[in-house]
Amino acid sequence: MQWEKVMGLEVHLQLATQSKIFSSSATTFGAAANSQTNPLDVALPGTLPVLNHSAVTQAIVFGLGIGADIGRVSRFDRKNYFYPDLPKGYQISQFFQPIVKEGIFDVPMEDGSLFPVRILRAHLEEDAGKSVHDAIPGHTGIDLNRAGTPLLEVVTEPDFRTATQVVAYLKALHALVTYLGISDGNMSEGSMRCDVNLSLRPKGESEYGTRTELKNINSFRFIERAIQIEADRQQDLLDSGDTVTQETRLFDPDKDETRAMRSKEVANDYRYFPDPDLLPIVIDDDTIDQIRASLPELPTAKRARYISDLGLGDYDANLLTQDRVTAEFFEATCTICNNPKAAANWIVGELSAALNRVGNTINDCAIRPDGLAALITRIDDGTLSSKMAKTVFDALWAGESDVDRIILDKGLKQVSDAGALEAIVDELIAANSAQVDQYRAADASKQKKLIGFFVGQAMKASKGQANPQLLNQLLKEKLSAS
Amino acid sequence: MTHAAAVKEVAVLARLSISDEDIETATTEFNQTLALFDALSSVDTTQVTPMVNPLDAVQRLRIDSVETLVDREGLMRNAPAQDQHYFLVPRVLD
Amino acid sequence: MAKAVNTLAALSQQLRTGSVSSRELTEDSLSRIARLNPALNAVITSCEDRALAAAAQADKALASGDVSPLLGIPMLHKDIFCTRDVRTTCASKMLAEFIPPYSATVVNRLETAGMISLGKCNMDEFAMGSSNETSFFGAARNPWDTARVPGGSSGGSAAAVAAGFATLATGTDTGGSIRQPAALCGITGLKPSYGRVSRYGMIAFASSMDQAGPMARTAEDCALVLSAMAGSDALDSTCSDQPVPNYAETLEQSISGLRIGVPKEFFSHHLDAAVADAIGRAIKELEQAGAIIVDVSLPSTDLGVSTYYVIAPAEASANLSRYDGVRYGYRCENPADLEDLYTRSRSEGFGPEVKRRILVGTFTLSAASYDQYFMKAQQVRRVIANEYDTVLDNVDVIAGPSAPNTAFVLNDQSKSITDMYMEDVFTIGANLAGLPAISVPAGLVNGLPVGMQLIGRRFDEARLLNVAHQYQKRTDWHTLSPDLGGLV
Repeated sequence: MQWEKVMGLEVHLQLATQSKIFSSSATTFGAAANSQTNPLDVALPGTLPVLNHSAVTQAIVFGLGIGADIGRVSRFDRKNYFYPDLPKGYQISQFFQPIVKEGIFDVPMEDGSLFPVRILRAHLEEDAGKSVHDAIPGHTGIDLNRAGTPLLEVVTEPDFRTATQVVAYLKALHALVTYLGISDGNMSEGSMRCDVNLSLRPKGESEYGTRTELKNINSFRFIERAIQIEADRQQDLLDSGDTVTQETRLFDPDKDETRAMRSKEVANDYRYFPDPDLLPIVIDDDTIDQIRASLPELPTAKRARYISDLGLGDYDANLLTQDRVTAEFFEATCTICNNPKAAANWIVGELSAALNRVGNTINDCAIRPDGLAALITRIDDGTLSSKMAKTVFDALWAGESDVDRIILDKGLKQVSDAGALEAIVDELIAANSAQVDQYRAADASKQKKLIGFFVGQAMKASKGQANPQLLNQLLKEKLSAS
Repeated sequence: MTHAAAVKEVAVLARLSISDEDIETATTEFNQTLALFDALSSVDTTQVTPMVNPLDAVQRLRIDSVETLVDREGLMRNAPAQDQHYFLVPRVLD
Repeated sequence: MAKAVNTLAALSQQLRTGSVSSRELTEDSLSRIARLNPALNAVITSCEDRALAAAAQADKALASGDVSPLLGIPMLHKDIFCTRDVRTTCASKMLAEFIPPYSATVVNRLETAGMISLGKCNMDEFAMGSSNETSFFGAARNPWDTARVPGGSSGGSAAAVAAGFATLATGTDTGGSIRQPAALCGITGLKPSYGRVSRYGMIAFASSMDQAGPMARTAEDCALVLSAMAGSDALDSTCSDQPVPNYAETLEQSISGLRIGVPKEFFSHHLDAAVADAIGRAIKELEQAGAIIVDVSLPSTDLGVSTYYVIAPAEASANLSRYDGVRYGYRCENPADLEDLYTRSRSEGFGPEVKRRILVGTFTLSAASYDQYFMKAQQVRRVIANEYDTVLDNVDVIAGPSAPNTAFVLNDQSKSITDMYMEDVFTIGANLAGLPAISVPAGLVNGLPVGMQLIGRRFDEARLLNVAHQYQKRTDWHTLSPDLGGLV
């Protein structure tokens, strides 16, 4: 039996607001336990929610970013269940009328194609607190700092068939939200959390099988692994005539398996009903127009522009537009040096490699756009040869910032003075008459190889600073002359 | 008519316990109240929008600014069990 | 029995002319509470030191020429309002030791206006009840006959004012919990429009209906207090920013030509005949003042009880989920695990009526029942609200009884649970529709007080208070006080 994986994703994004969605406590990460809470966050009796303006704006920004319908009237609903990190005993979410409705999100794949993912809805809700197990023996400690942080939950239709598509979607989502400035979209830090609904069905079938929900997997690598393991597990069940139980499962990377979440065993009827403490959110055309006008250029538009206007290739365009900081770095560099292709090469090549080696992001390194731009400018104006450029790059990486200073200090200025080069060439020719004769006697293709000897010698004599193009030109001239 | 078993299920959802001695009474009382609701089914509510809140207004939006609580002690002082500023519950199994 | 008593307005005058000090008033009230509360159980927590300190401050302010109308006047808060650093129990074992780190907006506003808070009043547990018998701290008693209930859920507040503990107590009204006890105790109680007064810090029962209001001797007193209580609050999304008029300014308007609707359904089989007579006489009084009495109909009156008892317990079931023994409130001993912690804390911490309502509320919200019960009830709610709006297009004010009977005896075993729910049959409509309503003393039946209810248009409290005040100028029921000699 050939089985096909059918997957839908629910991604929770922590929105980048200063204060929480319903209370005015701060949302900064990592504060001491329960130091970022107030009576509302602790659900003291009598406290009431008041909606954060920014959370609404950011949700609309997201919706416009994926070209979705914005719900002009939306409401909050209570999702009722008991868990210690949920202080009110209900989560304020949007069930009946979400703020963002259907849209299509085009995911750029590695091969350059676009994979369209149908977004069912995106809605606002509040985050729960954190449970800390075993910090105090025999107990679970509850920290409500995170309780009330605004989340945007993005739900897709079950359009995914491979883990590759899932990962591509998550990367594109990360890119989009960082562009829009509405979330860090960081899986390992928890500002982007992904739940995968996975079911199998016989290839060619249109009906859906029973699905399980894989929760809270926090890296791309784990996502691929978890999907594989769960699909295998379900396939084993189905192949042996068993059925798949609809349940929530956690991925255990140490044991390399998925297991059912125990706390979710108690059957949950969430008893959704409209929250009477909050009134309907009404969004008018003016608001939407204003927000739309304030949107930055989106990744897909940027990518297309890099390809068509700047002449970059797909691969480079993809990499450069992967997140906002990289794109901004690239564009800032281009603005100064006016050489997009070179800027792209350096960022995608040397800079990327260096960052990967130390595990940093582009804003963590010492090289800034103006430094890189200066480097490119000096290559373009002939001051630096490509070989010397690498040395300058290394200096910039190490923390030096003035390219001209570096060139001066290290004496890297390329020798382009025709007179000086001529002198070197003349000396060489005089000192190597055997090779000269050999060259003059050889045919064109052999000459191409033999000239290398002279180039090498000239480079040695000039301490690597001879302008290669000029050198080549001079050598050809002088060697040809007989 | 709701049966005792169903009332027990509702109790579980609400994290309330009803003892075996009390379940009969609880079920009777439950059904008495439910009987009160029968009258609703005869009302014609076609095209009537449910009323969630009688205030005819839209949600006010709060400016996104942080207000730091000064009285952290006051927030924790009613905690039945706490340690190192965590609220404590018996160890939860995931 | 007929003894003229002080009103808040009168005390305010005396304070400003200096014929009495806030300290004297406060000491008076405190000693009265000490003497009479054992028999009435109207007050759960008394705050002598705080009150005296506040009185001293008030006296200083008065001496320096501050003439704010409420300055220096002692009052009590229903124990549903969080008061910073003062135990706030909601009359429940669940919150018997709870000390809030903050105060409700209502508390803050009245404190800013200079009122002296003497303590917290008894009530039905979590505001669920119509007799103040469900309180964890024991039943409160009606000062007119201590074998009888004061009504509920604001029973303690009503009893306290009727017994002269203070000229003002705050109450809350979700299905009639200010108006019915006001009627049973012979005082004036106002439920403002939904959204008129902030709910922040007011322990929630049914969020779409709860409203705080003043309980005092007269409409004039209520007007003075409402002006200080009402108005928008950034901390409550459901608090309207409609401007707050000076309610005292319009009390003297003539009601000649005013149209007053009397719904025939309010004079149904539910209503005690003698009470009906008293209300009839009260309405006649309004007619004599020049009002035009119009027969109107509110056909969905009886449906209101069914509608209310679906919606209120449902909202309450969610509002009370936070009482789980984790962050505050009652926790059971030696919980074996998390589920045990939840289940035993809640089962031991809540009283039977609260648990009954949580069960029913949880049920009507559950997946299989939602459409049939909860959503249906919300639709019927709109039908009822529309009915009131239609009537109030034709008349300015609706008049009728507040309660179907006078105060009944404590532990009345003949009253079933649903019988008790029917206590609210005339008051519930105003909560469902979000309309303002007031109860004024309108007579005595067998020596027990009767209240007339007036219901107005949304945010038309000024009109209601005006009509009530004009009624009180022509009658003296509101000046009567029970003889408490036997209680000392």
